[in-house]
Amino acid sequence: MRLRANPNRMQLLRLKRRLLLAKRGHKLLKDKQEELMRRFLGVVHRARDLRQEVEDELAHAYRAFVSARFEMSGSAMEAALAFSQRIVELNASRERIMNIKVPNFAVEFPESAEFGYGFADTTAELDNALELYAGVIPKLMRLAEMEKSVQLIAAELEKTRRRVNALEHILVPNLEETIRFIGDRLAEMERETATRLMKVKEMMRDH
Amino acid sequence: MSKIAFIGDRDSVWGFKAFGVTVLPAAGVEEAQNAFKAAVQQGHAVIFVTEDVYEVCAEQIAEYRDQALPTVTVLPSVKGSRGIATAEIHRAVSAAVGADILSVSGDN
Repeated sequence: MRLRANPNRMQLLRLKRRLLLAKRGHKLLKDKQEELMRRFLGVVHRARDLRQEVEDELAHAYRAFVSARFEMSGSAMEAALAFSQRIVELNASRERIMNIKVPNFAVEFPESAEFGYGFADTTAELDNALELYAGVIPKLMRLAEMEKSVQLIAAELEKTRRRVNALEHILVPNLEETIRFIGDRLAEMERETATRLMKVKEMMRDH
Repeated sequence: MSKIAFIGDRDSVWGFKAFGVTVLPAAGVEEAQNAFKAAVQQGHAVIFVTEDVYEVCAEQIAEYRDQALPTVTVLPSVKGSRGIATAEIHRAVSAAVGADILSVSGDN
């Protein structure tokens, strides 16, 4: 589609400058898109594998926990869980990947610390179950971090892709068409002037 | 205060209490929505939700989709996984790439 512009030299120059800018922007965005895609594919495959792993391990831990629950009274369980000393420390920060803010979680885990509850009224099953939970928690954090990155990079990629397409398929062709049109018009006008001058000259000679 | 919260049915979330995770047992729809609101207001960086909670809180959760924090992650409950999180990743991929490349490579 041709843009609305008066066919004169001023407009022609302006449009040519805009075309140059649009092309440069397109190239930059295209580079950005490629780099985003590269990172995206890297993280998305890892996220999928980790998700699978976490779901399997978590199902395992759940089973152990539920069977431990059957062996203990509710109140003893409540007390045991409340007195546990293995508190997970989480340091959450934001990290920038290509100007996208993604979360970064550092988990601090007292790996060797005892559960703080007494041995008398808890069962070995509970210990086992909690051990499984302990193994899965750092992975949960990694998973949360990675899936969030996937979401954020995906959104950014989509936005970038739209922009690249808009430049490539709409703005640049429109500018080129308009520039060609104005160029043609100017050449036509020049020829018109030349013939008119020649005609006038001829008429003057006849007199 | 803990920066991790877990919202879901009692059996799923309970065990995490031993690790200092804020557990918010939620049974009904309203309870889940209130729990999610509370978890955000208390400034948790990571909020885990079970698939059931994710479904009833989808609108609330979508508000935080574009922010780095809080991060909301779906986990299976004791009843097992229905693959909601995996579907979510697939959706993100097809939106970003224009084709669901994961399921293609998954078939191989």
